[in-house]
Amino acid sequence: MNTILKSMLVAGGMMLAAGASAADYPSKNIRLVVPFGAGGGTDAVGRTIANSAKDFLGQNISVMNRTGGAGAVGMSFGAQQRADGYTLTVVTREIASLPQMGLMQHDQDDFKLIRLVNLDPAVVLVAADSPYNTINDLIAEAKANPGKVKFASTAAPNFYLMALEKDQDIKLNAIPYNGASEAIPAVLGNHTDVTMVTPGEAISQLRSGQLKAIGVMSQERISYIPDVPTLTEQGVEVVTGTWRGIGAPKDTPDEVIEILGKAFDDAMATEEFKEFMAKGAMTIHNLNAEEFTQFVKEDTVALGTLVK
Amino acid sequence: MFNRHVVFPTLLLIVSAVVLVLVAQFDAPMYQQDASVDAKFFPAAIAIIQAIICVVLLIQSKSQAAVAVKEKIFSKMALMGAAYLIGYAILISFVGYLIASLVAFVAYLLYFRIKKPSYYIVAVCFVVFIYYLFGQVFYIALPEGSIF
Amino acid sequence: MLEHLLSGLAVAFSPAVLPILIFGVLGGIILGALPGLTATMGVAILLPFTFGMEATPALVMLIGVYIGGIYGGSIAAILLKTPGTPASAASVLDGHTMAVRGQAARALSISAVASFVGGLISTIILIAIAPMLATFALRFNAPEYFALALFGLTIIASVSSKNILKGLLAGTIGLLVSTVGLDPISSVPRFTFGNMDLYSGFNVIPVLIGLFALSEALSQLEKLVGNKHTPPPKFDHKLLSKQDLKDMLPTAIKSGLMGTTIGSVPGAGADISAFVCYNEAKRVAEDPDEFGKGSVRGLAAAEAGNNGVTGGSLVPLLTLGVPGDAVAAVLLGALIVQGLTPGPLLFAQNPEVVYGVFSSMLVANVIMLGIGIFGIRFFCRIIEVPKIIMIPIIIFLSVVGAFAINNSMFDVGIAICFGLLGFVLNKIEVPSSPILLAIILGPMAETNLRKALLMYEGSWSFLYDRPIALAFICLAVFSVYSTLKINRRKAQ
Repeated sequence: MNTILKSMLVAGGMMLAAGASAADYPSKNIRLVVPFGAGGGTDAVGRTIANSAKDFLGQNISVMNRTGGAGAVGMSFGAQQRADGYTLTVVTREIASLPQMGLMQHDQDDFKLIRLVNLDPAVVLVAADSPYNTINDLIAEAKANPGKVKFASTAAPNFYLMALEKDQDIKLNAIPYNGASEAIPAVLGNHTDVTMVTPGEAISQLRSGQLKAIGVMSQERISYIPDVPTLTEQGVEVVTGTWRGIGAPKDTPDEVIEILGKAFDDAMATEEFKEFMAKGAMTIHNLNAEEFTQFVKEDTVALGTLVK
Repeated sequence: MFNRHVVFPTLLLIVSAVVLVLVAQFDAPMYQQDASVDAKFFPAAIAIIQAIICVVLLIQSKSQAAVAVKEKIFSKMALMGAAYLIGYAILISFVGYLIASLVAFVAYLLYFRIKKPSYYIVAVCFVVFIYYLFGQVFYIALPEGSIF
Repeated sequence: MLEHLLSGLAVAFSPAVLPILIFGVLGGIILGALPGLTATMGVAILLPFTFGMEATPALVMLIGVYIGGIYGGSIAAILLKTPGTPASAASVLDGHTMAVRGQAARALSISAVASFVGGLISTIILIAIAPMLATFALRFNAPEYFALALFGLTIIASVSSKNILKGLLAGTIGLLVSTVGLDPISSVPRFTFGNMDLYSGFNVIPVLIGLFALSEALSQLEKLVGNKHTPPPKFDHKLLSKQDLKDMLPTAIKSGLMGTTIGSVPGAGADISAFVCYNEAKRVAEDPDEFGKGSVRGLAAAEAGNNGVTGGSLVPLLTLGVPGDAVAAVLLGALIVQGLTPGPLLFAQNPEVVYGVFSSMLVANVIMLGIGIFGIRFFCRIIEVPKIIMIPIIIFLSVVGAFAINNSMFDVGIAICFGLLGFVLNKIEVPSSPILLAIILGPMAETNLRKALLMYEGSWSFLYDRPIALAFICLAVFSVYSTLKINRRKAQ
């Protein structure tokens, strides 16, 4: 009896799913789960891409903030929703780190990744009157006095710092702050010596000269701060940063993923979105579904070597 | 016999003990160096303070136990209210906000044997208004049920 | 500066901007009055709509929502004992007591005037000395935050007037609750039992909704059946008297100044400010026993204190480009989207925007006062709604609010649990506001103590060699001392 009921339910569910994947997608409002709070960078990117993509989908996309556990709560929630394409999730770099640290029960495999939207390097920042002018000044000081240089960390643990520490075999005194909006004043007020954030998070302090960038952790210099040399240029082979993309629950039909991918391509190409990202000093980095999946796999391995 | 001024501090005393046991089982930090005051310090300190306050309160209540309280902590109505809240939340998780609220509001009015139709109209209008205000004006998602 | 301000005022009163401002303030008041919907949420929802607008109207609308949202929470706190935001929880203590006595109109008008005074003072300070205040705020870091939180926690003793021990007990419950989740320093899970929903701990909003709104709904329900024939409180439509105004003004001005300072420090917001100002007003009062029993000054201090934050929190945003709280973070986004660079450059490059914002804040406070005073007649109707229909309405709104803050049924469950807890605590005369205070301040005290220790490599010297921290610690000691003194006087 019970098994019959179950199989009926399963069959019904499959019919429903089949119905959803039909050509009329999307036929109602779509929800976009943002795993970070209103007011942050991830929220802003999520809301803006939702705003741009809705015109191409012909349906509204309402943003739903679901915060907690450094993104784990929202992404796990998004992974468990109905795979009908009506619940999407902003997937951030935490999907590569948290599962390996045992802090999240879902990982990349629980999503069908749709598009990578944004990739930002980290910038090493010190106060304007700091004695450090290059990354090597900082490394030399950290080698001379291990554990004495105070680092304002935007999260615990901080992967930007761990990458540098591992590569250079140095140790800084990492003090965990709650995000860039707390770490930056800690450097401005000379309570700590150095921090690492994305360019967008510090753009006003960089433009006004309150903070000094001593290196950007990308392959090539970035357009928003063209005078800042990369770490690689300074002989330190560390490249790291953060990224944000969009995913759907893993059983979402491929046709739906395709429709969505196309819509997000168009959205990322709109002037509105490009202007928003440029003004916020954020870099658009569009990767398609396969590239994005591969990218996350590689990043997971890279982070794994730091975590272990 | 079961004086509320004895039962409650006793319960919290047990809570403090449980907290202390749990604190002892915290994982060691994996990635971050920690200060001399670590993750265990605060919960343990608070639990101990709580236990001390409970003991003092118990001693106090001994010395003034004569004041007997007649009124029950949970009257029948309060228990009904609590059950109503929980039932409403469970209903939402099955059928979503709109239907659950309509059902719950009407059930409430029926329970109190309200006969004025105007109350029912207010109830329906209120629920639909909230539904519209949040979903269509503010774009704030309301609870969805697992069935609908 | 004056000419910029005048042209800013001309913009604020222009037909293109004034309606937007009124719309923003009114919308903010409504959002703030509904439990669970905060000013932050309102501002974030409106943000995408500002992309197409010009810089000044966009910012003006968002700031209107912010100012209205902080004020709106108090209306529900006074009339229904269900504070719309944590910042208005301190207004319940005296405001609701007045309303129960039939003086709802008086309480609402005091609240509106005090909020106006607080908001106005903080705007004036913002205009006059923002850069100086910002330099001061930058001196705050982990040691100072720890000392501030410690001082804040001593307020627990002063809001638990009947029995200090019971107040402290409530405080420890709140502190224990606040340690649930991933430890913010070392990421060690504490009391999470492997439940993902607990990893970031208990959100303060569902706890607030449970402790105040739901527990109040339960006790109303009980009273409804207990004695069906209680006449509804007779209430007059008398606004505040001249004597009230005289009594409250010094307190409101002082609280406005304190609120501005607290707001200008990143990481301390309207909720902390309201309680700190309440505590301070009680400490200096000649009649501290009146506090909690419908004191004009108590209500005015809380109200001016929370609205005083509005100007202060813009200080770090406009002068340093650092958001002081979540609302300021959204405003930062709005500025950047408009192509503006918040920080010192903004004053030099775009004075018209800065002064447009300043003058619209002045106007927004006037609009808030207007809506607050003229709306009293309308707001008071809420009390006249039969309890039998009001109770389910409060319950349904509470559930929506608890859900909306994080789109989570788990939070609805939390709200219900704390509703039952608050109901029981009420019965055994344990006050519930210390729980709320402890949940707000506990994590601030703990993380900042541990950050400071990391910063000083294990040494506790920051407690005495940083003047601001030392000042707060002295204040904390003083606050405990004066509470004990009041109590001894009472005992005699």
